[in-house]
Amino acid sequence: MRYAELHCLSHYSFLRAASSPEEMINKAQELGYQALALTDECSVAGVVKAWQAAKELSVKLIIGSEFKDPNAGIFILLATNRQGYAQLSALISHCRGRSAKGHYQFSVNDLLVFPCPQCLLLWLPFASELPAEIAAAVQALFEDRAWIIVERHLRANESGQVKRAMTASQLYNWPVVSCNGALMHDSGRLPLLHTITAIREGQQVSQVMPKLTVNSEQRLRSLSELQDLYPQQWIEESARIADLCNFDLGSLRYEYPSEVVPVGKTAQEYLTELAQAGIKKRFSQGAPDKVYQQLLYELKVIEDMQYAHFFLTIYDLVEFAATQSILFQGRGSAANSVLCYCLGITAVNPAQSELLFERFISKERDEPPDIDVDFEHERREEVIQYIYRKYGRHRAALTATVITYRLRSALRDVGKALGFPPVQLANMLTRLDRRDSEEDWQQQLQQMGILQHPQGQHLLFLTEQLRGFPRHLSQHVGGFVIASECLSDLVPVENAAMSGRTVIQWDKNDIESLKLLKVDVLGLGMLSALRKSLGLVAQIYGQEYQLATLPQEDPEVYTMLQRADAVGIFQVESRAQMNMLPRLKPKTFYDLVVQIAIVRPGPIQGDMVHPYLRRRDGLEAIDYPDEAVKAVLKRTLGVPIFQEQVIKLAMVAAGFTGGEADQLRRAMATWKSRGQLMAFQEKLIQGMLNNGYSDEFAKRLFDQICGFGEYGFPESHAASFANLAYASAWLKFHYPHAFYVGLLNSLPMGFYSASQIIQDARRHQLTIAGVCINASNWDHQLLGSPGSLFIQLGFRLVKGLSQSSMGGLLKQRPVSGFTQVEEIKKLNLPGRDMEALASAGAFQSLAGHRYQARWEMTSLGQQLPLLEVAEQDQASYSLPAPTAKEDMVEDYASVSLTLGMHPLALLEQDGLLPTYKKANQLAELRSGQLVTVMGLVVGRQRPSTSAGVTFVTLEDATGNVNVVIWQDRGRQQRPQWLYAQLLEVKGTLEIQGDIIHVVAGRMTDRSSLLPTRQVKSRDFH
Amino acid sequence: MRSWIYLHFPSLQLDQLLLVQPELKDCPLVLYDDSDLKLKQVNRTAVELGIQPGMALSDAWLLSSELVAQAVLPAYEKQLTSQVALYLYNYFADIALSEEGGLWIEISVMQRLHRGQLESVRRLRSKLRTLSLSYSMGRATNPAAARVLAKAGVCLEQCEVTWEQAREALQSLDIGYTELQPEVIKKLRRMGLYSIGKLLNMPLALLGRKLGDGVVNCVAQLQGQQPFALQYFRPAVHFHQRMPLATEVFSWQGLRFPVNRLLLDLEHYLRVRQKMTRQLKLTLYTRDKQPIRVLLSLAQPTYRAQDFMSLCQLRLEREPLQQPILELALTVNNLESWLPGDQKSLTAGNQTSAQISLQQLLNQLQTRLGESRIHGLTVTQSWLPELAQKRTKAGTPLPQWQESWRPLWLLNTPLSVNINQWQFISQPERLQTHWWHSPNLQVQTRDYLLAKDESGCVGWLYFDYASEQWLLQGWGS
Repeated sequence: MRYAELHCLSHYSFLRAASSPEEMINKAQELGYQALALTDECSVAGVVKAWQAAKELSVKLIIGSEFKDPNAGIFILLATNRQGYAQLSALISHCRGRSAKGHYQFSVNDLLVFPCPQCLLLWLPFASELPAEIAAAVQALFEDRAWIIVERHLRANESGQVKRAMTASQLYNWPVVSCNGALMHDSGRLPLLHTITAIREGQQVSQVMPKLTVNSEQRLRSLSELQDLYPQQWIEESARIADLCNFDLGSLRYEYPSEVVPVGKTAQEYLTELAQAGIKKRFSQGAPDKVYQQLLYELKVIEDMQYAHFFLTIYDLVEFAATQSILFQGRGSAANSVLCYCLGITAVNPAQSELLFERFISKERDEPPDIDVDFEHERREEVIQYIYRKYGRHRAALTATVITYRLRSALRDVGKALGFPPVQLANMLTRLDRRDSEEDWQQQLQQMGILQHPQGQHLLFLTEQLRGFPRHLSQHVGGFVIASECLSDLVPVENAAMSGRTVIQWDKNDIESLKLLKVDVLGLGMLSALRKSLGLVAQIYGQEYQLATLPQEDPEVYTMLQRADAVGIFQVESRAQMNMLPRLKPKTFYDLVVQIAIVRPGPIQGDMVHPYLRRRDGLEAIDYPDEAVKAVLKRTLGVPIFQEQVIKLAMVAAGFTGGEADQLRRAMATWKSRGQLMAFQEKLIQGMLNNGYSDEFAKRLFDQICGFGEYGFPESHAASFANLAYASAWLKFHYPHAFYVGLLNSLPMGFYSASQIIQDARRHQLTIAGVCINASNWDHQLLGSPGSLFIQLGFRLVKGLSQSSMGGLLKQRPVSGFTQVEEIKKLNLPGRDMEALASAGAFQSLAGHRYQARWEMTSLGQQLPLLEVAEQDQASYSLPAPTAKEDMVEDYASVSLTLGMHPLALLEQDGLLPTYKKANQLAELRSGQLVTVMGLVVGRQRPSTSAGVTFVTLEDATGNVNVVIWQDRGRQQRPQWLYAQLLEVKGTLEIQGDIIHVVAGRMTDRSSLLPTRQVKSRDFH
Repeated sequence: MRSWIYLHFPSLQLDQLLLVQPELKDCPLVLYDDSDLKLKQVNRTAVELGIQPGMALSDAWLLSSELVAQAVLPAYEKQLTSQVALYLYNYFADIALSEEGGLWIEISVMQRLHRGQLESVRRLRSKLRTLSLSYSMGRATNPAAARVLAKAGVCLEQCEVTWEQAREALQSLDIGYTELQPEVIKKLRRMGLYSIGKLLNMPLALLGRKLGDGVVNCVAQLQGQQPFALQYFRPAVHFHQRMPLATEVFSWQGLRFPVNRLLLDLEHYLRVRQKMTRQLKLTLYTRDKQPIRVLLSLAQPTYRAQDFMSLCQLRLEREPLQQPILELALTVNNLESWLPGDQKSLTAGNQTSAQISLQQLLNQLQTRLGESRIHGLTVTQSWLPELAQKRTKAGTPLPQWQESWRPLWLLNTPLSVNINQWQFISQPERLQTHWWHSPNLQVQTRDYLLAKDESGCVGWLYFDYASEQWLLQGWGS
């Protein structure tokens, strides 16, 4: 007997079905089905996964979709060929396009507008007749390509449904076909199906029983079960339908947009022309031969692989950005090529770095090229709008990101569905140690006594099942797919949550599987900061610089970095990076590339940092088992630091093929637990042993691979980031005023708050002026002239101030400034804004101190009639001026920082603090000495790699003190440090070269001494 | 001159919990606001662990995994305040309740009886000591000032408090103790007006112009220049008290102390009102099932907690608790005066059965047979026949949601049948048992069919796959 399942939903019909596309395909194979149609509800989001699973199997995958008309029934369309698929995709796009994100609208009338001539129609009727007004038209359109579905799920009143189907079959002369209407691949998923139904309804399982399926018949059933339920003819009909469907997803061919190539030229010709022009421009003195040969090689590969259009599309985008003065930088495997440098996509000079050129585009691995382009985060939208303008919304859309259930969300939703009280769930979620590996979460919950609850075991089991299930489609941060014609011919497009955005129904893995190309348009705050800083350098100093023209390898810049003077410097400003800077002592650009890649969870967990440092300092011999390994690891002293080195090692040492290495790369990229990588363990280790490597080497390499996970950096990314790190460091050293202003005007970004950046600027002897109604603009400014420059803080710093009303004020501000408060009052700005400005001290030049200004600016919208009489003679009233401490409180309350005395200096002046060592005194003390330090807590970090160690940064009037809290100490004294704003730490001073920190002993929360609670810490980000 | 005391109870519900369940004293115990999960009241053990009011509940859990947390119940706090008022009503005449759970006592009216205000204060303190509650007291010449002083923990000890003394005491206090709206308080602070003294020194009209009439009213009330509406306390007509438990109680032993506490409160209530009762209703609330109602009746009326307690003990010891108890309530509706009244017949003699409404009939049956023996029947949402019906309160109408056909007559226990004596007349319906009732998520499958027996009766049969036998579930028509 031949049977094909033609009505089957996967978990991509969100919260409707309880099995993945892969599970459905595998089960269909196991049951001996001829074919399986994946017919998710108005969606093909799961078909690529199913297609991949079916590749090696005999079961045939049919692409289809289910549409529900609440009055007429369920309609399923199956694509018979490529055109049918495009028609189906267009219909899905149409139904999705007229509804909000996650919804669709369909009525049987849509079949008249979208008759999908290359699709087959299956109808599961709710009534035995189609709506009278369209019945004839639908019958005529689908005359010999429509069937009536009968699904028997052994429920009460089922005979009615069968009768309806038989009547409809006779009425329209459409044959009957039997289906499972499967929502799960196996009956064991029934509890999960019930649970997700309850989640969908927002109620408990026991409260939604009328909506639950009463048995597990909506699954893929065995052929013998089907034979008991349906006549042979109905079953055979399914296989006959399957024979008519011959569309293979692999036949989708990406067609490039043609407008990026001028008429009369081929894409390759045009690309070569641009490359030749670019190399002359980049290397005005003539390119080194090695570089030129590399360019020729790259162009050849591109020609062979037919990727010229892709590079031209990226080139078109960066050209647009360049004309608009939007700063950008390319990264990704293909970005750090000579070609991309010549096309201006990246500013990383290939002659200066030692990148693995062969990773550019790997023919062997048949991977599509990968280029992400970062644009200034504040102006990325302009690039996106350019794409929409140039290609039209029907040809360009963002890739989807499938938001899946993670442990916490699964636990929360299953818990609610099982009737756990919200407070108990909140308790469990809080106490689950989020920093510990998620592997032992069940054990943790058991220790909390979860099994005492009657549903405790169910919670553990169902949460585990739900983890990884998709919840909804979201938009990828910036991955665009651009089609030559209509995008919906390729893949359905639907609305995203953000107004005006559309997403396709596939995520980046799907795109990659089908070898479609996407263009990543990303936003990066540091590029905004750099553009602003470079603009100021040009404006104030008359020096025009671009990223690619900054003087390279400036030793003074590296000396500054070696001192860990890195607040605000891209990628190396974190506590961990700053600790590493004095140890790694970067002296060259490539050192910076290594620095950025090495302080990542991957290399740290894989224990690569210490061997690298020892080898770099000549304390450990550099050895290689053979020349092949040496070729891969030579540049990083025999220690794998970059992701591609690990991949390459798998190939040269363990004999992985290109395809296997690609699978390994994907397993690393989507790494969530060691589980997926463990599948490679035996093959890797055995491969290396077979090739004569030692057991110890093989195991160490595997551990390093596991450590990499999703955190390891590819070298090309690290190089691109190093370029920006160098640029920001160069600016900080040579043009600190411009650097800080650019940075402050691009917040929020990076690790530090405005307060910490300004503290750093003041430690570098820069002058800062507070917010002033006559001097400030919305943004911070650099005022004065070289030699007497100062940073004028802008209104953007003032809490609760509206940018639009300040725009109005600035337009009406006289060139010489306001002379009286009354002039400003006449502008009728919202009272809230006036009060915010007053408290920020912006009226100091006009209205005296901030209390008085606030009093002057406060008024009710409407006068109280009874009080009108009394006001005339009492209109002016003098309030006492704030004390220094009150000023500080107001500073923090209004602009989150103070330009007055540091809070600690103030407390010290009032004699409120015990004796303590200041940050700038620590370097003079003896390592190992017991010290007491004190400061505002400005940061708490607990990197996942730190084995429970917490790093706390304290700020006193002279600088920052780094405090290390070991795990046991942290647990014992958690109440003292976890929420303290002012912390006293008694501990042991440790000094290693330029690295100074205090290992915490006894800690005391001194927050009650602070007159304000507005001091903010940047915690655990 | 009139003189007021305000009693501020910062942790009324928490104190009560510790009184009722003293074993929690050494646990970190917190009460949180259900709407934002922020802590409102915390005990000393919790404070020692770094837990503070205002902290997020999740943060508190980070500091202690032993935390016992319960939601603040505003209605319960109100009830507790009323209980305190009822107690003090024995000794003080004019007591008023505040919205935020405090009490005013006008002590100037007791001056003659107590021979001076200080004696009134002394007596008040002595009475409060017996309640073991945390409180702070404020005295002033008007209710608003007394409340601010109480909240700030400032109690003037002069024989007779004057406005000047109260004003002096108010000077340095933070404006946060006033009843001003939080946004007004914020605005005042941003002008440097942190203390009540500074606020009182401002020109009132100008303040009003800047910040609205709320400030004017507040200042005028603090100065006693504007009347203050008070809601005077009167004892309730019926007795009803609820008592949430901090932890689930699994046995009668664990309930004894809380029940006794409720009965003592009842005794006090009855004594004050010179009443007795012969019937009380104890309700035990469980997590998700119907509450357990226990009706306790005595042959003779009484007011003594001891009598009720003996009865409770007899009744509850016989009935082991099926589920943990989360909360208790005690209700007494029928009060009798001290003199014993006539013993009335349980049913009115001259009514015919046709004249008795359903409600009356149910009442009579419940009175005669006991509440627990009279119940109604309702259909549930479950598809399983044995769970499709359940007992409910007598008189509850049937819900409408049952869609699929079911025989009306279901057997309590399905009967095994010989299938050869039956003839099927319907398609099978497959039902599976509820996995959430099975510890390992196992379900059992049954195929239901209608069939006629040899005499033509229609039975609802099923094949049970677990026991591999046919069973009769019910009869159709």
